[in-house]
Amino acid sequence: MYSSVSKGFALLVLVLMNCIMFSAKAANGITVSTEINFSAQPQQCVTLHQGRDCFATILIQWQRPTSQTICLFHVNKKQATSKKQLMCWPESKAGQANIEFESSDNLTYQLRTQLDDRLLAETEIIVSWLHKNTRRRRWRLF
Amino acid sequence: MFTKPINPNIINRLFIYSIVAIAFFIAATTHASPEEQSLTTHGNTPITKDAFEWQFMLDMALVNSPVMLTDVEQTELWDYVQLGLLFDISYKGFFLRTNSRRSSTILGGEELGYQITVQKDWQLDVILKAYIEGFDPIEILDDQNKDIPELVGLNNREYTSGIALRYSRYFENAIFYIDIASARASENEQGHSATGIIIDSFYSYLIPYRNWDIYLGAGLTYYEKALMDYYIGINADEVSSARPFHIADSTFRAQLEVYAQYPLSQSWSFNAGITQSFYSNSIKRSPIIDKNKLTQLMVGVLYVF
Repeated sequence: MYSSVSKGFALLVLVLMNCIMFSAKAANGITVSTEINFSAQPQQCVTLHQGRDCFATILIQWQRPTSQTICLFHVNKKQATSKKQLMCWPESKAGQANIEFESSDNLTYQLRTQLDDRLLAETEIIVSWLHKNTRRRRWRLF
Repeated sequence: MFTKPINPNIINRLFIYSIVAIAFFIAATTHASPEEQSLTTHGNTPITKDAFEWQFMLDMALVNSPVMLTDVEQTELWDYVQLGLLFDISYKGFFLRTNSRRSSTILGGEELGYQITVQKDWQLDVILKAYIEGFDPIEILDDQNKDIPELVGLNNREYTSGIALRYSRYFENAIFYIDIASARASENEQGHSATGIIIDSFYSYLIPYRNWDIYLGAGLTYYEKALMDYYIGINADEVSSARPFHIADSTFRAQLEVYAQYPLSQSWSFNAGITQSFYSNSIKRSPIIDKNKLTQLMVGVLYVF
Protein backbone atom coordinates (compact mmCIF):
# COMPACT_ATOMS: atom_id res chain seq x y z
CA MET A 1 0.00 0.00 0.00
CA TYR A 2 1.50 3.29 -1.06
CA SER A 3 -0.64 6.06 0.34
CA SER A 4 0.23 9.70 -0.10
CA VAL A 5 1.10 9.77 3.59
CA SER A 6 3.70 7.04 3.27
CA LYS A 7 5.06 8.54 0.05
CA GLY A 8 5.26 11.92 1.72
CA PHE A 9 7.01 10.38 4.74
CA ALA A 10 9.54 8.64 2.52
CA LEU A 11 10.20 11.88 0.69
CA LEU A 12 10.63 13.72 3.97
CA VAL A 13 13.14 11.13 5.18
CA LEU A 14 15.11 11.45 1.93
CA VAL A 15 15.18 15.22 2.21
CA LEU A 16 16.27 15.09 5.86
CA MET A 17 19.05 12.60 5.06
CA ASN A 18 20.18 14.84 2.24
CA CYS A 19 20.27 17.79 4.64
CA ILE A 20 22.44 15.89 7.09
CA MET A 21 24.84 14.63 4.43
CA PHE A 22 25.37 18.01 2.81
CA SER A 23 25.58 20.77 5.34
CA ALA A 24 25.93 23.46 2.68
CA LYS A 25 22.63 22.47 1.12
CA ALA A 26 20.54 25.26 -0.35
CA ALA A 27 16.96 25.90 0.75
CA ASN A 28 15.42 24.37 -2.40
CA GLY A 29 17.09 21.01 -1.84
CA ILE A 30 19.98 21.57 -4.22
CA THR A 31 23.35 20.15 -3.35
CA VAL A 32 26.01 22.82 -3.22
CA SER A 33 29.71 22.34 -2.60
CA THR A 34 32.04 25.15 -1.65
CA GLU A 35 33.42 25.14 -5.20
CA ILE A 36 30.29 25.24 -7.25
CA ASN A 37 26.65 26.29 -7.32
CA PHE A 38 24.52 23.58 -8.90
CA SER A 39 20.80 23.33 -9.47
CA ALA A 40 18.42 20.99 -11.28
CA GLN A 41 14.76 21.89 -11.71
CA PRO A 42 12.24 20.41 -11.25
CA GLN A 43 13.54 18.07 -8.58
CA GLN A 44 10.52 15.78 -8.65
CA CYS A 45 8.94 13.89 -11.54
CA VAL A 46 5.43 12.54 -11.04
CA THR A 47 4.02 9.68 -13.03
CA LEU A 48 0.50 8.25 -12.94
CA HIS A 49 1.38 4.72 -11.95
CA GLN A 50 4.12 3.17 -9.86
CA GLY A 51 6.77 1.57 -12.03
CA ARG A 52 6.07 3.63 -15.13
CA ASP A 53 8.82 5.73 -16.70
CA CYS A 54 8.49 9.37 -15.75
CA PHE A 55 9.25 12.06 -18.29
CA ALA A 56 10.43 15.59 -17.57
CA THR A 57 12.70 18.25 -18.97
CA ILE A 58 15.25 19.10 -16.28
CA LEU A 59 17.01 22.44 -16.36
CA ILE A 60 20.59 21.98 -15.18
CA GLN A 61 22.55 25.08 -14.14
CA TRP A 62 25.94 25.48 -12.52
CA GLN A 63 28.41 28.22 -11.75
CA ARG A 64 31.90 28.31 -10.21
CA PRO A 65 34.60 30.96 -9.70
CA THR A 66 37.29 29.43 -11.92
CA SER A 67 37.25 27.87 -15.38
CA GLN A 68 37.53 24.16 -15.74
CA THR A 69 36.12 21.43 -17.95
CA ILE A 70 33.07 20.08 -16.11
CA CYS A 71 31.05 17.04 -17.08
CA LEU A 72 27.48 16.07 -16.21
CA PHE A 73 26.65 12.49 -15.31
CA HIS A 74 23.52 10.70 -14.26
CA VAL A 75 23.56 7.81 -11.82
CA ASN A 76 20.88 5.32 -10.90
CA LYS A 77 21.90 4.38 -7.38
CA LYS A 78 19.94 1.13 -7.63
CA GLN A 79 22.36 0.02 -10.32
CA ALA A 80 26.00 0.11 -9.26
CA THR A 81 27.43 0.52 -12.75
CA SER A 82 24.94 2.96 -14.14
CA LYS A 83 27.06 6.14 -14.16
CA LYS A 84 26.64 7.71 -17.57
CA GLN A 85 28.23 10.84 -18.96
CA LEU A 86 25.65 13.14 -20.54
CA MET A 87 27.73 16.13 -21.62
CA CYS A 88 30.75 18.32 -20.86
CA TRP A 89 31.37 22.06 -20.81
CA PRO A 90 34.99 22.75 -21.89
CA GLU A 91 36.90 25.30 -19.79
CA SER A 92 33.83 27.12 -18.45
CA LYS A 93 32.84 29.04 -15.34
CA ALA A 94 29.14 28.36 -15.84
CA GLY A 95 26.88 26.03 -17.73
CA GLN A 96 23.24 25.38 -18.48
CA ALA A 97 21.42 22.57 -20.24
CA ASN A 98 17.97 21.04 -20.66
CA ILE A 99 18.13 17.33 -20.03
CA GLU A 100 15.35 14.95 -21.00
CA PHE A 101 14.65 12.84 -17.93
CA GLU A 102 13.14 9.39 -18.51
CA SER A 103 13.23 6.92 -15.65
CA SER A 104 11.05 4.89 -13.32
CA ASP A 105 13.68 5.27 -10.56
CA ASN A 106 15.23 8.24 -8.84
CA LEU A 107 18.27 9.51 -10.72
CA THR A 108 21.21 11.48 -9.36
CA TYR A 109 22.85 14.14 -11.50
CA GLN A 110 26.52 14.74 -10.78
CA LEU A 111 29.01 17.37 -11.86
CA ARG A 112 32.53 16.05 -12.09
CA THR A 113 35.83 17.45 -13.26
CA GLN A 114 36.94 15.96 -16.55
CA LEU A 115 40.58 16.01 -15.53
CA ASP A 116 40.40 13.77 -12.44
CA ASP A 117 36.74 12.72 -12.26
CA ARG A 118 36.34 14.51 -8.94
CA LEU A 119 32.76 14.89 -7.72
CA LEU A 120 31.90 18.57 -7.30
CA ALA A 121 28.17 18.42 -6.70
CA GLU A 122 25.16 16.18 -7.08
CA THR A 123 21.42 16.34 -6.78
CA GLU A 124 18.72 13.71 -6.97
CA ILE A 125 15.55 13.82 -9.05
CA ILE A 126 12.80 11.97 -7.20
CA VAL A 127 10.26 9.85 -9.12
CA SER A 128 6.89 9.59 -7.42
CA TRP A 129 3.50 8.40 -8.54
CA LEU A 130 -0.19 9.00 -8.10
CA HIS A 131 -1.54 5.45 -8.15
CA LYS A 132 -0.04 2.20 -7.06
CA ASN A 133 0.39 0.02 -10.10
CA THR A 134 -2.47 -2.40 -10.60
CA ARG A 135 -3.57 -4.26 -13.68
CA ARG A 136 -7.13 -4.29 -12.51
CA ARG A 137 -7.93 -0.60 -12.80
CA ARG A 138 -10.42 0.14 -15.51
CA TRP A 139 -11.54 3.49 -16.75
CA ARG A 140 -14.93 3.69 -18.24
CA LEU A 141 -16.55 7.06 -18.19
CA PHE A 142 -20.22 6.70 -18.92
CA MET B 1 -28.53 5.66 -19.41
CA PHE B 2 -31.43 7.69 -18.09
CA THR B 3 -29.38 10.12 -16.11
CA LYS B 4 -31.32 13.02 -14.66
CA PRO B 5 -29.76 16.47 -14.79
CA ILE B 6 -30.30 16.85 -11.04
CA ASN B 7 -30.39 13.88 -8.76
CA PRO B 8 -31.21 14.66 -5.14
CA ASN B 9 -30.92 10.96 -4.32
CA ILE B 10 -27.17 11.21 -4.74
CA ILE B 11 -26.75 12.35 -1.14
CA ASN B 12 -28.72 9.33 0.11
CA ARG B 13 -26.78 7.08 -2.18
CA LEU B 14 -23.46 8.54 -1.10
CA PHE B 15 -24.51 8.01 2.49
CA ILE B 16 -25.30 4.33 1.89
CA TYR B 17 -22.13 4.02 -0.14
CA SER B 18 -20.07 5.65 2.62
CA ILE B 19 -21.53 3.33 5.25
CA VAL B 20 -20.68 0.28 3.13
CA ALA B 21 -17.19 1.62 2.47
CA ILE B 22 -16.52 2.47 6.12
CA ALA B 23 -17.78 -0.93 7.26
CA PHE B 24 -15.57 -2.58 4.69
CA PHE B 25 -12.65 -0.39 5.73
CA ILE B 26 -13.06 -1.21 9.42
CA ALA B 27 -13.36 -4.91 8.71
CA ALA B 28 -10.30 -4.78 6.53
CA THR B 29 -8.09 -2.78 8.90
CA THR B 30 -8.94 -5.16 11.73
CA HIS B 31 -7.45 -8.07 9.84
CA ALA B 32 -5.12 -6.31 7.45
CA SER B 33 -2.03 -8.06 6.26
CA PRO B 34 0.58 -6.42 4.04
CA GLU B 35 1.16 -9.52 2.00
CA GLU B 36 -1.00 -10.72 -0.81
CA GLN B 37 -3.04 -13.80 -0.13
CA SER B 38 -1.59 -16.66 -2.11
CA LEU B 39 -3.40 -19.94 -2.38
CA THR B 40 -2.61 -23.05 -4.31
CA THR B 41 -5.08 -25.01 -6.36
CA HIS B 42 -4.91 -28.75 -7.01
CA GLY B 43 -3.02 -28.10 -10.22
CA ASN B 44 -0.42 -26.05 -8.35
CA THR B 45 -1.58 -22.97 -10.19
CA PRO B 46 -0.95 -19.96 -8.00
CA ILE B 47 -3.92 -17.75 -7.35
CA THR B 48 -3.08 -14.36 -6.00
CA LYS B 49 -6.02 -12.37 -4.84
CA ASP B 50 -5.89 -8.74 -3.89
CA ALA B 51 -4.44 -8.09 -0.45
CA PHE B 52 -5.60 -5.23 1.69
CA GLU B 53 -5.27 -2.16 -0.46
CA TRP B 54 -7.21 1.03 -0.49
CA GLN B 55 -7.40 4.27 -2.32
CA PHE B 56 -9.59 7.21 -1.49
CA MET B 57 -10.17 9.87 -4.12
CA LEU B 58 -12.08 13.05 -4.65
CA ASP B 59 -13.46 13.62 -8.12
CA MET B 60 -14.40 17.09 -9.35
CA ALA B 61 -15.49 17.46 -12.94
CA LEU B 62 -17.57 19.35 -15.43
CA VAL B 63 -19.77 16.97 -17.35
CA ASN B 64 -21.86 17.47 -20.43
CA SER B 65 -24.18 14.51 -20.35
CA PRO B 66 -27.29 14.73 -22.49
CA VAL B 67 -30.32 12.65 -21.55
CA MET B 68 -32.29 10.51 -23.94
CA LEU B 69 -35.66 11.41 -22.39
CA THR B 70 -37.84 13.55 -24.64
CA ASP B 71 -36.98 17.28 -24.49
CA VAL B 72 -34.96 16.92 -21.27
CA GLU B 73 -31.81 19.03 -21.20
CA GLN B 74 -29.15 20.07 -18.74
CA THR B 75 -30.40 23.47 -17.63
CA GLU B 76 -28.46 24.77 -14.66
CA LEU B 77 -24.78 25.08 -13.83
CA TRP B 78 -25.09 22.39 -11.14
CA ASP B 79 -26.26 19.96 -13.83
CA TYR B 80 -22.77 20.14 -15.31
CA VAL B 81 -20.92 19.65 -12.03
CA GLN B 82 -19.95 16.22 -10.86
CA LEU B 83 -18.52 15.65 -7.41
CA GLY B 84 -17.67 12.23 -6.12
CA LEU B 85 -15.98 10.62 -3.15
CA LEU B 86 -14.41 7.48 -4.46
CA PHE B 87 -13.20 4.40 -2.62
CA ASP B 88 -11.21 1.55 -4.03
CA ILE B 89 -10.75 -1.09 -1.36
CA SER B 90 -9.79 -4.73 -1.55
CA TYR B 91 -9.20 -7.42 1.03
CA LYS B 92 -8.70 -11.16 0.57
CA GLY B 93 -10.37 -11.20 -2.81
CA PHE B 94 -13.26 -8.93 -1.86
CA PHE B 95 -13.29 -5.52 -3.47
CA LEU B 96 -15.23 -2.32 -3.63
CA ARG B 97 -14.07 -0.55 -6.73
CA THR B 98 -14.75 2.55 -8.72
CA ASN B 99 -15.39 1.67 -12.29
CA SER B 100 -17.33 4.24 -14.16
CA ARG B 101 -18.83 7.66 -14.03
CA ARG B 102 -18.93 7.58 -10.26
CA SER B 103 -21.63 9.90 -9.03
CA SER B 104 -24.21 9.01 -11.65
CA THR B 105 -25.44 5.72 -10.34
CA ILE B 106 -26.37 4.00 -7.13
CA LEU B 107 -23.46 3.46 -4.76
CA GLY B 108 -21.56 6.06 -6.73
CA GLY B 109 -20.99 3.63 -9.57
CA GLU B 110 -19.06 1.31 -7.32
CA GLU B 111 -18.81 -2.42 -7.81
CA LEU B 112 -18.86 -4.72 -4.84
CA GLY B 113 -17.28 -8.00 -5.77
CA TYR B 114 -15.30 -11.10 -5.03
CA GLN B 115 -12.50 -12.57 -7.08
CA ILE B 116 -13.41 -16.19 -7.74
CA THR B 117 -10.16 -16.90 -9.48
CA VAL B 118 -7.21 -14.78 -10.51
CA GLN B 119 -4.86 -16.08 -13.18
CA LYS B 120 -1.96 -14.53 -15.05
CA ASP B 121 -3.98 -13.30 -18.00
CA TRP B 122 -7.55 -13.54 -16.81
CA GLN B 123 -9.79 -13.56 -13.82
CA LEU B 124 -13.34 -14.36 -12.85
CA ASP B 125 -15.28 -12.21 -10.41
CA VAL B 126 -18.77 -12.15 -9.06
CA ILE B 127 -19.96 -8.57 -8.72
CA LEU B 128 -22.88 -6.57 -7.46
CA LYS B 129 -23.47 -3.22 -9.08
CA ALA B 130 -26.09 -0.80 -10.35
CA TYR B 131 -26.45 -1.04 -14.09
CA ILE B 132 -29.21 1.45 -14.87
CA GLU B 133 -30.17 4.60 -13.06
CA GLY B 134 -33.80 5.40 -12.51
CA PHE B 135 -35.59 8.68 -12.98
CA ASP B 136 -38.41 10.61 -11.38
CA PRO B 137 -40.49 12.57 -13.93
CA ILE B 138 -41.74 15.00 -11.25
CA GLU B 139 -38.18 16.01 -10.34
CA ILE B 140 -37.24 16.31 -13.99
CA LEU B 141 -40.22 18.52 -14.79
CA ASP B 142 -39.47 20.73 -11.76
CA ASP B 143 -35.95 21.16 -13.01
CA GLN B 144 -36.74 21.75 -16.67
CA ASN B 145 -39.00 24.79 -16.17
CA LYS B 146 -41.00 23.85 -19.23
CA ASP B 147 -43.91 21.64 -20.08
CA ILE B 148 -43.03 18.21 -21.41
CA PRO B 149 -46.37 16.47 -22.05
CA GLU B 150 -44.66 13.12 -22.67
CA LEU B 151 -43.42 13.09 -19.06
CA VAL B 152 -46.41 14.61 -17.22
CA GLY B 153 -48.07 11.97 -15.06
CA LEU B 154 -45.49 9.31 -15.89
CA ASN B 155 -44.64 6.87 -13.10
CA ASN B 156 -41.16 7.03 -11.67
CA ARG B 157 -38.59 4.38 -12.60
CA GLU B 158 -36.25 2.99 -9.97
CA TYR B 159 -32.65 1.91 -10.50
CA THR B 160 -31.61 -1.50 -11.73
CA SER B 161 -29.00 -3.47 -9.87
CA GLY B 162 -27.62 -6.81 -10.79
CA ILE B 163 -25.45 -9.66 -9.72
CA ALA B 164 -23.03 -10.59 -12.42
CA LEU B 165 -20.31 -12.98 -13.36
CA ARG B 166 -17.42 -11.03 -14.84
CA TYR B 167 -14.72 -12.48 -17.01
CA SER B 168 -11.71 -10.20 -17.46
CA ARG B 169 -8.91 -10.79 -19.90
CA TYR B 170 -5.65 -8.88 -19.60
CA PHE B 171 -3.38 -8.05 -22.49
CA GLU B 172 -0.10 -6.14 -22.64
CA ASN B 173 -1.72 -2.72 -22.63
CA ALA B 174 -5.39 -3.59 -22.76
CA ILE B 175 -8.26 -5.06 -20.80
CA PHE B 176 -11.39 -6.78 -22.01
CA TYR B 177 -14.23 -7.73 -19.72
CA ILE B 178 -17.71 -9.08 -20.06
CA ASP B 179 -20.42 -9.11 -17.40
CA ILE B 180 -23.35 -11.48 -17.59
CA ALA B 181 -25.79 -10.04 -15.10
CA SER B 182 -29.10 -11.05 -13.68
CA ALA B 183 -30.62 -7.66 -13.07
CA ARG B 184 -33.69 -6.37 -11.31
CA ALA B 185 -35.34 -3.01 -11.67
CA SER B 186 -36.63 -2.12 -8.23
CA GLU B 187 -40.33 -1.83 -7.57
CA ASN B 188 -41.73 1.66 -8.07
CA GLU B 189 -44.66 3.28 -6.24
CA GLN B 190 -47.11 1.58 -8.57
CA GLY B 191 -45.69 -1.83 -7.77
CA HIS B 192 -44.02 -2.31 -11.14
CA SER B 193 -40.67 -4.00 -11.31
CA ALA B 194 -38.77 -6.06 -13.85
CA THR B 195 -36.08 -8.65 -14.07
CA GLY B 196 -33.88 -9.46 -17.00
CA ILE B 197 -30.44 -10.14 -18.34
CA ILE B 198 -27.81 -7.53 -19.05
CA ILE B 199 -24.68 -8.47 -20.94
CA ASP B 200 -22.11 -5.73 -20.75
CA SER B 201 -18.71 -5.87 -22.44
CA PHE B 202 -15.92 -3.35 -22.70
CA TYR B 203 -12.46 -3.22 -24.24
CA SER B 204 -9.98 -0.62 -23.11
CA TYR B 205 -6.61 -0.04 -24.76
CA LEU B 206 -3.96 2.06 -23.04
CA ILE B 207 -1.64 4.28 -25.03
CA PRO B 208 1.03 5.71 -22.71
CA TYR B 209 2.48 8.95 -24.08
CA ARG B 210 5.15 10.49 -21.85
CA ASN B 211 3.32 11.10 -18.55
CA TRP B 212 -0.12 10.85 -20.17
CA ASP B 213 -2.34 7.79 -20.08
CA ILE B 214 -4.67 7.73 -23.06
CA TYR B 215 -7.34 5.04 -23.06
CA LEU B 216 -9.29 4.07 -26.16
CA GLY B 217 -12.42 2.13 -25.29
CA ALA B 218 -15.23 0.32 -27.02
CA GLY B 219 -18.21 -1.37 -25.44
CA LEU B 220 -21.28 -3.34 -26.37
CA THR B 221 -24.18 -3.86 -23.97
CA TYR B 222 -27.38 -5.86 -24.29
CA TYR B 223 -30.50 -5.09 -22.25
CA GLU B 224 -33.28 -7.67 -22.16
CA LYS B 225 -36.77 -6.66 -23.25
CA ALA B 226 -38.39 -6.77 -19.80
CA LEU B 227 -35.91 -4.25 -18.42
CA MET B 228 -36.25 -1.90 -21.38
CA ASP B 229 -40.01 -2.12 -21.15
CA TYR B 230 -39.85 -1.14 -17.49
CA TYR B 231 -37.95 2.03 -18.37
CA ILE B 232 -39.25 3.18 -21.73
CA GLY B 233 -42.43 1.18 -22.17
CA ILE B 234 -45.76 2.95 -21.50
CA ASN B 235 -48.19 1.06 -19.30
CA ALA B 236 -51.98 1.27 -19.66
CA ASP B 237 -52.18 3.49 -16.56
CA GLU B 238 -49.69 5.93 -18.11
CA VAL B 239 -51.38 6.41 -21.48
CA SER B 240 -52.22 10.02 -22.39
CA SER B 241 -52.81 11.99 -25.58
CA ALA B 242 -49.07 12.68 -25.79
CA ARG B 243 -48.09 9.21 -24.65
CA PRO B 244 -49.57 6.18 -26.42
CA PHE B 245 -49.29 2.64 -25.08
CA HIS B 246 -45.89 1.22 -25.91
CA ILE B 247 -44.08 -2.05 -25.39
CA ALA B 248 -40.34 -1.68 -25.68
CA ASP B 249 -38.01 -4.15 -27.30
CA SER B 250 -34.65 -5.49 -26.17
CA THR B 251 -31.88 -3.00 -26.82
CA PHE B 252 -28.22 -2.86 -27.69
CA ARG B 253 -25.87 -0.05 -26.79
CA ALA B 254 -22.52 0.44 -28.54
CA GLN B 255 -20.00 2.84 -27.06
CA LEU B 256 -16.77 4.42 -28.21
CA GLU B 257 -14.66 6.26 -25.70
CA VAL B 258 -11.44 8.24 -25.40
CA TYR B 259 -10.17 9.05 -21.92
CA ALA B 260 -6.95 10.80 -20.92
CA GLN B 261 -5.27 11.35 -17.58
CA TYR B 262 -2.21 13.44 -16.68
CA PRO B 263 -0.49 13.79 -13.28
CA LEU B 264 -0.43 17.39 -12.07
CA SER B 265 1.33 16.51 -8.82
CA GLN B 266 1.73 13.60 -6.44
CA SER B 267 -1.93 14.00 -5.41
CA TRP B 268 -3.72 15.65 -8.32
CA SER B 269 -4.42 14.50 -11.84
CA PHE B 270 -6.18 16.08 -14.77
CA ASN B 271 -8.78 13.93 -16.52
CA ALA B 272 -10.78 14.39 -19.68
CA GLY B 273 -12.89 12.09 -21.77
CA ILE B 274 -15.55 11.73 -24.39
CA THR B 275 -17.99 8.88 -24.85
CA GLN B 276 -20.23 8.36 -27.85
CA SER B 277 -23.14 5.98 -27.24
CA PHE B 278 -25.38 4.48 -29.88
CA TYR B 279 -28.58 2.77 -28.75
CA SER B 280 -30.79 0.60 -30.97
CA ASN B 281 -33.02 2.69 -33.23
CA SER B 282 -36.07 0.96 -31.76
CA ILE B 283 -35.86 2.95 -28.52
CA LYS B 284 -36.98 6.07 -30.36
CA ARG B 285 -40.37 4.43 -30.90
CA SER B 286 -41.04 5.08 -27.22
CA PRO B 287 -42.89 8.38 -26.75
CA ILE B 288 -40.61 9.33 -23.85
CA ILE B 289 -37.38 8.91 -25.83
CA ASP B 290 -36.24 11.29 -28.55
CA LYS B 291 -32.59 10.40 -29.05
CA ASN B 292 -30.61 7.23 -29.43
CA LYS B 293 -27.18 8.78 -29.90
CA LEU B 294 -25.55 10.52 -26.95
CA THR B 295 -22.23 12.36 -26.79
CA GLN B 296 -20.95 12.79 -23.25
CA LEU B 297 -17.96 14.89 -22.26
CA MET B 298 -16.05 15.16 -19.01
CA VAL B 299 -13.20 17.45 -17.91
CA GLY B 300 -12.03 17.41 -14.32
CA VAL B 301 -9.46 16.77 -11.67
CA LEU B 302 -8.94 13.88 -9.31
CA TYR B 303 -7.37 14.18 -5.87
CA VAL B 304 -5.79 11.00 -4.52
CA PHE B 305 -5.45 10.82 -0.74
